[in-house]
Amino acid sequence: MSEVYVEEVCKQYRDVQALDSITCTFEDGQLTVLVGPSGCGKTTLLRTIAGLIEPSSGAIYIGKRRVDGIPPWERNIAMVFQSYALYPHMTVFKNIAFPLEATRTPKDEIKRRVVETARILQIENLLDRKPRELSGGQMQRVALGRAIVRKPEVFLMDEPLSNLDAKLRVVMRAELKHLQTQLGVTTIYVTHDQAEAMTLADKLIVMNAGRIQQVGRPEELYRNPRNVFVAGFIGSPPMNFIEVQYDPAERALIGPDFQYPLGPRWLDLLRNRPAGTLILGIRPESIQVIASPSPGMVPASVYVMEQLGREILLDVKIGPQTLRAFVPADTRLQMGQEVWLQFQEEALYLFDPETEVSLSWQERQ
Amino acid sequence: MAVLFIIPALLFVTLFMYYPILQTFIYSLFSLHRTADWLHAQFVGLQNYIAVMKSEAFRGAFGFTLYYTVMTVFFELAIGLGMAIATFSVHPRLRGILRAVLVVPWAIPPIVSAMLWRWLFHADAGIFGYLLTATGLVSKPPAFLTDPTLAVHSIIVASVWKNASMMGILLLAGLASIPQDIYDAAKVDGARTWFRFRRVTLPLLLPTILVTVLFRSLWALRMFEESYGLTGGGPGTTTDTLSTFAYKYFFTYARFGVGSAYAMVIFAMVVMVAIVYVNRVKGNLRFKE
Amino acid sequence: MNGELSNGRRSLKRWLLEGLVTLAIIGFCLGPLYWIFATSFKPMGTEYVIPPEFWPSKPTLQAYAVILGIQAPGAERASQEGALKGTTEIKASPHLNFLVPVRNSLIVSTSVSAGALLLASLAAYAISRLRFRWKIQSLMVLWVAGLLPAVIVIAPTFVLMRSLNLLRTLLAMILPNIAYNIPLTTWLLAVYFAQLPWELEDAAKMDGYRPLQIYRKVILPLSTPGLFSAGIFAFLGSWGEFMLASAVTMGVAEVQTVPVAILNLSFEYRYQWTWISAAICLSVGLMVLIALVFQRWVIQGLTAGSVKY
Ligand SMILES: Nc1ncnc2c1ncn2[C@@H]1O[C@H](COP(=O)(O)OP(=O)(O)OP(=O)(O)O)[C@@H](O)[C@H]1O
Ligand SMILES: [Mg+2]
Repeated sequence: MSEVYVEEVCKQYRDVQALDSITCTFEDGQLTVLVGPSGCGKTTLLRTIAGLIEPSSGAIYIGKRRVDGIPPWERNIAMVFQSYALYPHMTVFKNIAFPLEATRTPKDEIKRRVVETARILQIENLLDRKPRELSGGQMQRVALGRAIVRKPEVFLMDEPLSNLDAKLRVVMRAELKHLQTQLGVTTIYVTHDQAEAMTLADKLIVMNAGRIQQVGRPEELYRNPRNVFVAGFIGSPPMNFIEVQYDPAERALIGPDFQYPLGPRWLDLLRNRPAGTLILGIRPESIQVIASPSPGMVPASVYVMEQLGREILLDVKIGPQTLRAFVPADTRLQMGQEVWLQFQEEALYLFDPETEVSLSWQERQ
Repeated sequence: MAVLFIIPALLFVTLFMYYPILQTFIYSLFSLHRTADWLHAQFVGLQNYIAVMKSEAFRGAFGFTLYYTVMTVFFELAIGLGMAIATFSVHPRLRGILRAVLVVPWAIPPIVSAMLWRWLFHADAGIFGYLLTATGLVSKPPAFLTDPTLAVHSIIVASVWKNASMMGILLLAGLASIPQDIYDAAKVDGARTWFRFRRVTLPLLLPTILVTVLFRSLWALRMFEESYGLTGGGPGTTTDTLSTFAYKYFFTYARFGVGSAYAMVIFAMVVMVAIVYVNRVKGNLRFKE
Repeated sequence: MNGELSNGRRSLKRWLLEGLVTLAIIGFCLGPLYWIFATSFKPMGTEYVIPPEFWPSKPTLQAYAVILGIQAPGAERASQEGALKGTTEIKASPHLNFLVPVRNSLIVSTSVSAGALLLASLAAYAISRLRFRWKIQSLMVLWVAGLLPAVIVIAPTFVLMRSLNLLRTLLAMILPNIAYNIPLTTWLLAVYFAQLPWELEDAAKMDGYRPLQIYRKVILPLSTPGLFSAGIFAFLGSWGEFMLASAVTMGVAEVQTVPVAILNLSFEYRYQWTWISAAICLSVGLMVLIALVFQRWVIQGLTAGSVKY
């Protein structure tokens, strides 16, 4: 078991910079999730660590050992593929035994370890089947078995759950987390599903367009996103963004249809800033919707209501802008009805429109 | 109604392929001269077959046909597989070149390929003879096409050249149809190149290999042009195949009865392989409804 | 077995290895052809000089001039040859003209391709797009025909052509070759038609088009690439056909196709390897060019035609 360290890794394809100077650490024994939208380079980074892709430049360490330039079969890693990539001509037993046979383990030990692995994953009764006789969930377990059987230094997983149906995915997610904690093997997990990332991760790495956007614990990223991208990516439904004008004279933000007076904390943060455009961010769960007006509130009108059972997800309009907010399930509202929104000041985010960086990021850390 | 679309094709194929088989079979039961018409034909039952089976020449041709089939298919498979793997493994740019190159021997008509090899194997000025003497392996150029053993193997070499690359193309398609993820999984599972090849690539390629071998055998059993063009069956009849005999009986000796008996033997052999082959691949003959 | 993913840093060693392997395969596949190519440019007689020249020091088009009939083979040479040949049948043709067999082959192959494409596309349309009884059986009948050896049909075909008075004509080769090429062309076209979208056809049906009109106005125009690639196979297949061609032409030079003509050339002028080489280069040059230019389709068709049948 060991830490994985990636240093200034770049990967250039003919016309795409798939990885742009990636530096990050995957701590020993932890489950680190690489998350980001499609095409952001997650798979590329994972395969670079596996040795299936050679980086254009940079260095990769597993433990104390520098591994770039070393072929994958000498890296002592295990990988779970989205397609499972089970060997179709081998039984489940042979599939799980394959990594051990490849590394010349004695026969009786192979048998012992495969059976033990199958027991952990509860697939003992499937050992004689061929992959095509398995369900998706069963194949998933076999793929996991093949990864854990040789006790590698690192697990690499590329969207391992995305071929399962929604229910099974949640079950396997929990099992995977449990298994990983039990085994304590450094794990790098790739997904584009932020909910999956949040529930699984000890540490999250958010990527976009080949660059790391932010690294941290899931709740940290939720609470204190570094930029507009992370703020919009983490959390569901995503954070609302409104373009506003900062007016130092009025000590307020001027919106399309409203004026929001700033408290002392924000005024302090913005004290060196000239008047100009800012991006205001507010999470749906931090908006309070009230049926009658009171001072400092933002007027809006109800546009769409989605009954979720526990609460209602509301789309409201402020001028041309749409915002999403939650109200309790029993709230009586009508389409087009006028409402007032209260933004909790501590849940407010402001971003620079040029750099898209959060203005309160430093302070909140 | 729809049957009208398919009838012309069926008609042609029946007229020029299925019906003639029946005729050939009937010919084979007669003592029949091509110049002599049916008025002078004489029914001889299985006499032609018996005469053919008894002849030394038939046994020679039968043996050579089988030997040729086994040897060429084996070496074509070995070399084709090697070329397919090489093509699959090299950098994409080189792969493009190789794929194009592999098509070339296939595109050359068999009889032309035989002519070409006749020059390479030429007894006095052939390049192979020269290279062998120049490297000091032999003192004078071997008689590639006139020594019985050498002639047999020269024909095999020429055929392997002509067909190995086609095998390579088919096997390459088989290799490419194995999902990349499986190779990658084997790599991270710690399998080295040889282990991966033996335990993953080869078993997954086996169905393709089998079909390719059957397909090639189907053609090797009826081999004609290579012998006819390269040695004309010589020296003596050492490199005569069942097909060259059939052809010679038809058009040189003008004995259609005996020739047809030869043809029927080839047909029987081809049918045996074809049955196995058809059973393996007919699952792919699926069309909507 | 790398299945090229790692095109990042490749070591010099690997490049060298790959380069050598590539060269070896190129040498294997093209070496023999190169030798014929080089021989065809040698001055007459020098092809026998030992050690052989790997590229003629005085390259000449002499051999091409002779076989194309631009230059007479030379009277004294011809008689000398006749003497050498002894009893073998001598056709004293002072002028060779290899353009005749090339023309014949072009006529045969073009007609065969056209005929096979016409019949095969009709059949393929029915198989891939229409419903009828015995469909799989009909397909099997067509397809299995492609596996049959020519030698089993050659004698009756010869007799048929004789009774139709077609011996020594190109038609005697064209008609049977259409049949020989129907199996593969039908299969390739059926696979191609099957993957065309159904929407256009449905729309045409809605407009009251009959199947024949749909075939003509919808399927064929959409299938140019498929027709083309199937046509290449029919063309190459009939270009190289030897057994039937040699039987039905009966030694008449005017109707011989390229394979027959080359074999005859090599019997008649068996010491003139520069001429034979030139003839080979002329006749395979076109085929190799076609195969190379349409490489992708050739490979697709080959795999579809054998393994994936
Ligand atoms: N072999 C390749 N050649 C060229 N470009 C590639 C190659 N592989 C990946 N790319 C490009 O690199 C970028 C990153 O790809 P990558 O597969 O890492 O994305 P990803 O984050 O895994 O996306 P997804 O969530 O869709 O799997 C993409 O723009 C992709 O098009
Ligand atoms: Mg991916």
